[in-house]
Amino acid sequence: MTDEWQFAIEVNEIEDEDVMPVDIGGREIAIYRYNNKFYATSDKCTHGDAYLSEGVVVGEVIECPLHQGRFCLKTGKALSAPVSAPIETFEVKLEDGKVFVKLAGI
Amino acid sequence: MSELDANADLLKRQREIISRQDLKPFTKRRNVPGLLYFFGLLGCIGASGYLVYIAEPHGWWIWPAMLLHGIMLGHLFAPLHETSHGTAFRTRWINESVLWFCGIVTIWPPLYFRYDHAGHHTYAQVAGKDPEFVLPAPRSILGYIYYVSAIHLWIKNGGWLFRHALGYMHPFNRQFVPDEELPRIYMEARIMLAIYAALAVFTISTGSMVVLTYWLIPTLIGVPVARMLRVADHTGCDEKADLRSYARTVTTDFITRFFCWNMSYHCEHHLAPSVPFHQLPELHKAVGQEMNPVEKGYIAIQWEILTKHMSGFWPSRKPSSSEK
Repeated sequence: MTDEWQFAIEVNEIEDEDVMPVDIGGREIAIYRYNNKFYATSDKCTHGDAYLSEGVVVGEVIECPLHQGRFCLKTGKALSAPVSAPIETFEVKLEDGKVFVKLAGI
Repeated sequence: MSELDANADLLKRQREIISRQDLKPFTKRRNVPGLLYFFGLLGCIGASGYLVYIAEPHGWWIWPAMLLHGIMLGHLFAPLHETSHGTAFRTRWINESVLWFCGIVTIWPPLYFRYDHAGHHTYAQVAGKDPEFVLPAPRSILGYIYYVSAIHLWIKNGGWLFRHALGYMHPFNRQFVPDEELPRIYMEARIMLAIYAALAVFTISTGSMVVLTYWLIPTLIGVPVARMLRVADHTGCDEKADLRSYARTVTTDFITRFFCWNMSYHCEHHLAPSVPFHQLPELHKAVGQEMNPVEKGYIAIQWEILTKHMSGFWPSRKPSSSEK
């Protein structure tokens, strides 16, 4: 199964220090923007199953909207309770004002 | 309802009241308001501590001074609560430092409290599931006195510390904590008990009354005021998972809002716990009327609870499995 770059969202659809949900081939992905850097992770929190795209971006950290568990956008690492399991992260690239995410087997 | 279902339902209800886009401006993190509130509270604690100092040579005058000092110390629960959500400050290390400081002074294990409090937000007012259910119905006047006296608090928090230090967690509490976090929670309890043991050794070996006079006795006699504020958050409201009616927003003055870090806007806090305390008044202006605001202050609510929400003086059943 090969990894493929998939179109996710237009750059100007995400404000700075914000997050948007996208559906790519049935996969729920959250796309983040901070200081004109873009990140992509799975959209579900590993603690309470909430959508991280409904959460709060604080720097390079996403905070879950339900219980304020925090994940690193770069690595997906769980940073503080009540979350402890990491989220999946994906490579991101920009082309012509578009955000692409590298996903396996879509 | 499973925990995941309860969480999904909670978010769905949140979005029925306010969209994410409308909520976003309220969620911005800042350091300045939290620093002002925190150091303002520390200033009040310092001032009341000074009153204890000047009252010390004057016999019984030390008791009202220690009561006032204890009331100030008890309000450290407010920054403990806000920092447990991680919303008090934008800078994380400041948030965590304040969380630990408040946890040690108020004798609440901060990391465990984060898990416990997450359970409260998922299951608020659901009997047998909400780990912080305050006085579920049927409630009694004796139960109210027991709660406000904070005796239950010392039993509960002491139980957490000693059980966790021994490497054991009550099954009710265990449901909120993942396996991999247990070692950290147990270590937290051991560190806190070591700090308290060191203070005890210092007190006994030197004969100094500082720890007792400026911290422990004031805390014991002053914390009931903070407990009364907690009673007003949910007690007597609907005992079901309904964001609009399971908490109440209390009408109170600026000074009280300062000491409770705006938790008088309790409906708004439960609606969106990711909104920092300093934005709750604005969130209230936006959606407060859709929630459960009451045109009453904290004292009037205590009276209402005592006169309208009691089944009698004596407890009519055993307490629920909450508050272990």
